Amino acid sequence: MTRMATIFLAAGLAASVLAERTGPWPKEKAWEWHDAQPWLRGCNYMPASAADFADMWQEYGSEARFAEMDRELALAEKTGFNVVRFLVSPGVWMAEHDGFMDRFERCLALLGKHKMRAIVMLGNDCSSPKECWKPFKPGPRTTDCGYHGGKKVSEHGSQPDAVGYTILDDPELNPKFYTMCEELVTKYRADPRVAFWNLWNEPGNNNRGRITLPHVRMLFELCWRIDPVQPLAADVWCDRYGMGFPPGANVPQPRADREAAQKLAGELSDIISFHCYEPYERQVTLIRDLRRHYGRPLVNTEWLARIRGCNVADCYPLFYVAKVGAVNWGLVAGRFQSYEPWEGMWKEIERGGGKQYDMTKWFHDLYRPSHRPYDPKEIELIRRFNGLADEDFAGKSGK
Amino acid sequence: MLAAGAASAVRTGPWPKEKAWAWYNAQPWIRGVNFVPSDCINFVDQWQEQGFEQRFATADRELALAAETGFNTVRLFLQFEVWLYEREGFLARFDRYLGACEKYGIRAIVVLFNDCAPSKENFFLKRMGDQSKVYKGLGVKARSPHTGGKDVGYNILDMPEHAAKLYEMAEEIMRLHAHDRRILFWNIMNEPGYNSHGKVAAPHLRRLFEIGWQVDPDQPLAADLFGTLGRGKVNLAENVAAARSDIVSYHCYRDFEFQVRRVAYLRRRFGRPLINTEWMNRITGNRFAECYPLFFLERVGAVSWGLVRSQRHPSMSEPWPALWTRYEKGEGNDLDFTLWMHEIYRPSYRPYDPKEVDLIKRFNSLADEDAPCQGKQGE
Repeated sequence: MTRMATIFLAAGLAASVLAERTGPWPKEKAWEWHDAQPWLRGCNYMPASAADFADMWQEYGSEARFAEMDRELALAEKTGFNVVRFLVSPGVWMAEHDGFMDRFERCLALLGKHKMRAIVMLGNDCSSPKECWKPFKPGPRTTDCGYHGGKKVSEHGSQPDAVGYTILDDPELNPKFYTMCEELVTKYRADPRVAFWNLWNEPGNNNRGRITLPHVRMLFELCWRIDPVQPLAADVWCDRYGMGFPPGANVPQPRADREAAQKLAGELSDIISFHCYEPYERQVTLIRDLRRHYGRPLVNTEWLARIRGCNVADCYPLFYVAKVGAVNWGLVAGRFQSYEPWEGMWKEIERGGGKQYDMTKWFHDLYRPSHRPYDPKEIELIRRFNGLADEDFAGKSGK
Repeated sequence: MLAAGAASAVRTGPWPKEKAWAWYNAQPWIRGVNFVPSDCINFVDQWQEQGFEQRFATADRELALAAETGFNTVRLFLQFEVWLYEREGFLARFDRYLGACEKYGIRAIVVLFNDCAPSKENFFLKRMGDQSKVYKGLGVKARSPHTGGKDVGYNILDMPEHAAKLYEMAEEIMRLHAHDRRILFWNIMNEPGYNSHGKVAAPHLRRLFEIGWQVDPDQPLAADLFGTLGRGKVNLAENVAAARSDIVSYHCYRDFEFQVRRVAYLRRRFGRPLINTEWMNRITGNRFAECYPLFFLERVGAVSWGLVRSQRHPSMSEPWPALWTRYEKGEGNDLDFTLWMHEIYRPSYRPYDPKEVDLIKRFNSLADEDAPCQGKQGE
């Protein structure tokens, strides 16, 4: 970088503190943020007894659930994790506003107690068709036993061609989603217990690419006005416009709507939150391509799919040494049943495909309901690398 | 004349080997599972009146699944307390179970008593009603007997008034079904002498066999050989099982090589038909891929543990506490905890491992081609 450019950039940085943000952080600011962090590692988190994220946040059963969360977060802490990623619930926020805000605060306090931070997901495109959509209703929730996500008809490949439906598609509820985001991001804009704002989970999933595009942009703009100290990121999650495939690989035909949503997500993000449920070699080639394309810090916010060959044994050491944040799906196996394979994979098998899948393994999750490890060797490995990361961080910060 | 005389005399010992083989050779290859409907917490739930209709409907669906898999046998554990407290209802429900089995071409191995006993402080006489409190909150069985052999087992055999009742129950059920073709054989006692309970269990097992001889049912009688035999330890109850069984019902949850050695040893020692009534532990390397074709080829009955994983709590498929203890002592590097220990199907009735179920079905259909084996061997 030339001297001129440096001065120009520095001036830009100073100006951005005063003026309203109109775009992602400069790369330098993103790296400065990254360099001040320990290696981010943890899991997507939902208490084992929760049927889904709305269940996690609702008042019904919340006292017992907080006790459970305390035990489970202690387990995550003992594992050496320092982040968890979860989705908030606009439905609960609307129905039980004050209670929800109170429980969100209690959840962050619990994380603080266990020396962990939150990756907070706001928007989400992972959704089921309209006929399956129901507005949030407080009270006990049902699950189907033996199905990923606890639902026979799920967003994970039950109806691959259907268009998912979310709160954003309801013109009356839609503004409330933005009000929720504004309230949360404003209230916690300088809170050290929030690691970063994951503005959108998997934009364009369930054929929502076209619908979601303007919303992703609007949410970024809203957050730029609030200008929190934490970085903002929406997920680059699937196909990634042909990135991450080794030479000679059979690259699937990209889907224009899905690509456009992800492309926008990547362009607006301060740091890159990506998902990859593929085996080791694909992780390596994807990280290489994401680095070249974005030049920003990387956090893999969804990975681990043992059935597909995406395993702890090879991926975790890779993420550690590459300083790529590692947030796998699932801590303790529970009612959400993310140890079961996606419906889409069963469909492949029933069509006579899926020969590469090892169905004998748990798909996601690290611990049994008893809090013993699913695979003790796996947990031992995770703890070894978390220990190394702690040494690195202590050395860096001169402790 | 001789045959008539033998029939009228009271039996005083196991069938002659020839009779055991004649019985065995008239059977198809015996294969199936230890059966508990997936919505039962335990055996009380399987038999008690409360909630029975719903669980029996589940049993019906799951027996259909077993038949579709090509199984022809289920092993059923009776529960003494249900007979004690709900005798008539229990007997009627047992009969309905056999009817459901028959509907799907399945026969029952009936376990009269289970000596797989917890320690005395963990023992309690089962009560009827909601069973969910048997489990702690985290899906762990509160009173697992599978802790690794340090506990000394305790159960109703230590309580003379209940032991006498058990004799009554055994006699009543065997008399009622002495000529019932839906029953494959009477499994007099599951794992007699488990958890150092041999000294207590041995005289009771002797008595139960004598009751069986007085009833003299059409079906053979057997108590399980499950571990100590031929390995230097003494379990008096297992010695009774070895001396008195008409056929050999044995258990083996160890790896393939050990299975092979077990079959060879039991053949040499007893010269009677073999049925492995408990096996299949993927964590310890005891798997369908190797063992099932072996049992098929050698016509060893194969009754694995578990059909459908429980919907009520995951702990039935969880590793035995003893396996964790081994691992924690640094002796468990051969254990693969990433696999389900038991069971073949998920709660959705999809296979745990589609490749495994394909293999099971292949060998079951080969066995159907062979059956009845008597015809083939007689040619």
